[in-house]
Amino acid sequence: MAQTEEAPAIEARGIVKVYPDGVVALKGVDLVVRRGEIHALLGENGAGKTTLMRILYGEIQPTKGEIRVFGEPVRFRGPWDAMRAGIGMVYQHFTLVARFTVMENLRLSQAGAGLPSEPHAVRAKAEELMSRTGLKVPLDAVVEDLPVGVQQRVEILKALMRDVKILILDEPTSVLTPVETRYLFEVLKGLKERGITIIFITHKLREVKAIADRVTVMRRGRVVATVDVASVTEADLARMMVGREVVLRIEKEPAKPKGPVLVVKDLWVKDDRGLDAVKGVNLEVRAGEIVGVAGVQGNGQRELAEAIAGVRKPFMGQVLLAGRDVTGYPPHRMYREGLAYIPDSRKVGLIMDFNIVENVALTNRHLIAEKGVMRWGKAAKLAAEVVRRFAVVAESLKTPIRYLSGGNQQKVMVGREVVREPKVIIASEPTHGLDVGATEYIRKLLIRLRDEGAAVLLISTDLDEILQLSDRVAVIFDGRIVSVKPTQEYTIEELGLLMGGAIPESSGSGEVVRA
Amino acid sequence: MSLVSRIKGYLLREEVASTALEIVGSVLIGVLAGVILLAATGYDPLQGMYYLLVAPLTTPGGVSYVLVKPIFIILTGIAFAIPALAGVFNIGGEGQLYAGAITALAVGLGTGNFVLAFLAGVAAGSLVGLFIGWLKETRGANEVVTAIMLNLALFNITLYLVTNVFGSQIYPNQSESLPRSAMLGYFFIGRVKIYYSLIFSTALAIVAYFLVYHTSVGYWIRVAGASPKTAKYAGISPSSAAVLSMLIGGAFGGAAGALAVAGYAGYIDVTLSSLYGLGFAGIGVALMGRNHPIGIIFSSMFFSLLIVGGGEIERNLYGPFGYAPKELADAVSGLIIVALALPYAYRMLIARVRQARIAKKVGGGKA
Repeated sequence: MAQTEEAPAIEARGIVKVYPDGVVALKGVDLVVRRGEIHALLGENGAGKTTLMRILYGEIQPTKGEIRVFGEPVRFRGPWDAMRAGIGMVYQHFTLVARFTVMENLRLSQAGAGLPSEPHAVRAKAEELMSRTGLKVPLDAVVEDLPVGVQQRVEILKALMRDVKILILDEPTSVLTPVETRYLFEVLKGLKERGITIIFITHKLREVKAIADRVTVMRRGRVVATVDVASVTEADLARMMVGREVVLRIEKEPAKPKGPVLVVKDLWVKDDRGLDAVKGVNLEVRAGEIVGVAGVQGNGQRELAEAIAGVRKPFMGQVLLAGRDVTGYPPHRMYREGLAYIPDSRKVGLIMDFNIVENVALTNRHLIAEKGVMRWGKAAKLAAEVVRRFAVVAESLKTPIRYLSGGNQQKVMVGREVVREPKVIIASEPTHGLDVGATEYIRKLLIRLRDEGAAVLLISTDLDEILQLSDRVAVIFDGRIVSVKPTQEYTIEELGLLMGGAIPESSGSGEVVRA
Repeated sequence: MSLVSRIKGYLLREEVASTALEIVGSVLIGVLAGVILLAATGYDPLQGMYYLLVAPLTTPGGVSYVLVKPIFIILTGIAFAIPALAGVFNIGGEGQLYAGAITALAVGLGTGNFVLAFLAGVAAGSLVGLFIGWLKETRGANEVVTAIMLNLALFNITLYLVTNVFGSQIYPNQSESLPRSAMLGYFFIGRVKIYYSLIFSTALAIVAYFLVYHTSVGYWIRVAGASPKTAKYAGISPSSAAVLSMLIGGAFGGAAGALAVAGYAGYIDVTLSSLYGLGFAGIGVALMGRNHPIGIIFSSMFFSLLIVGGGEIERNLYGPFGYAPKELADAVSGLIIVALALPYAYRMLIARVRQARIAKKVGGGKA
């Protein structure tokens, strides 16, 4: 036992993971996380970061390899074993009961771990922890009323309540505003000072530099290297991550916009719960320009996009497409009128069990159906064009879409919209979950479409993406567009503050704002 | 490209090959389970399997008999399959069958015309389907509950009509018989008797295949069933697709009933024994046939073989306790059916549960 005092917090050796479908996710991975450090795990999507973390958290079992926690060999049968060993996890998607208060969630978690769950005991422990760590959370608020950043704090608090010694965070900043991110980093540094080991999964280079002591870079199921963060630059990390020089900047000519093609006037839309999600949005997108809608997830972006595309009916306001009032048109009619809508999730835009041809047909039915009969020959031609033009890698057109990689799925989803040469393209999170190569491809494509005269409305929570692509940026907060101006007129700081709702509307929303 | 090479290409496709493998494997597992059951109860398992799977096909009478039940269960199978593709669980094939049967009887007796009798039966079945679908989508009534209740109601309504309105003057145990003009007949190939209705229902299955896989309506149904959210994005209303699928499914259920009367028996007996259970059999047949109209043609034939073969076991298989009881014969064929239907039923169930969970997470209306 004596030498375990010196042993690292986590030591994983030769981890191999083969999934039941034969996919080899990890090909012999070594990971050593020292006590009390913040250790970043960096890699593109599909590099194996999440698989490795799920193994460390006991969610899945490794096919081969051994794991030691504080020197003790462990074999987790499930997350409960990992928790007992002092490991806590904060997922990207929170595991909170939305209708419960924070206290109720904490008590539920305590009871689940076999710890005291009486209200006074839980409250005392929570308050003590909050005062020591600076992790402020309103204990009696209902979770679903809290901003995402605060919900995340609840998750962290929940883990700390279980006396974790090692805390794993899976892409924790993906849902946060810049301000919330900074706050999170402060909290994490505080936890580190109190001796808690933190593993931080990310694919953002800047964050690694900002917070981590050491970083393990993964690529395609292997560890590329584990290095001290202080000894490398962002460019070094990027090289290690992708194995080649990345074009971090995308070259583009200045836009040469023509007349407005998409005009949104005083649009009001309700969300699924019947609450106002879009509150009087005015927006104009001209042919040959990209307008980016920046904002933190859940500020009405999805409802705005859906209302423009006809998927959701606005209850007030107008949508004009090339000068014609198309408000309330059903989606397939909008698609026929020259609108393309790339939804924010491939689970919405694609049917995984359908093959490529059937998926391409989805939004192009007006080109395929004749007198109620599906002309599959025509659909196959269209699909073949998508595959050829966008270099989709697939065994055949009849391959179910689920067997394609995420990047190729995305190419099909984007390609099938682009192939009918739309006048207006609404692209929601068009590179979400893609690796660097596929991301670059999609971004360049959007710029090319702009240059060919399309009006592009880019809705993204990825600020880098907005800044790289947009000619003008509209910031959305709480269902309102709080600012519209040319991209270069913003500072990062200003954008962050606008997205966080810290600056009141800088331009009146009663009139159409024009750059 | 020659037809042969196209067929070869189709068969080599991964999903076709894996489905074929799954079916062959399931039959083998089912047969093995049956063998174990027979051996454990002291009967000769090989002899048992011979009676179950081979004996019915060795005589013209046996083959003729095997070719009767598929007339109806092909159609009730499709009555289940099409709504299932839209994500609706149509357990009301039974009621749709009764509605089709009694309506076809009434119209056939009244007009003496097969076409009118058949169409009336189809219309009646589709109305029942439409009603269930409409209740589900506008009133949020669970389709399984309404369908079960309607099955019972329609059973008793049919029973009442058969005994009190259309009762035969001559035979106390059945309705009046349809005139020859209101019926489809049969023909012989060698000594095998084949009903024209079997050709007809097979043709309807091919129509169903075309409808599902080659028309816009079929595409809507499949999209809505596979992912309601995607359907909305593509401008397809999942609830309209669900109602439409019930309308179409009901039409096939009604067609089954119409053919049971106007294409086979010519009357309905007062216990409805010629109809009872055909709707439910359709569920098993649809699951065995992977909800594919062409697959359902084959699974119906196989199902019918097992039923007839079960009878052979009862009559011929002799063991330590005398002839094999009906329950044993049913259990053996039941094992094979379950083995065949289970993998697909399981996948369907998982998909439904997953969809419900996603729908809940999104917080939207009913999926």
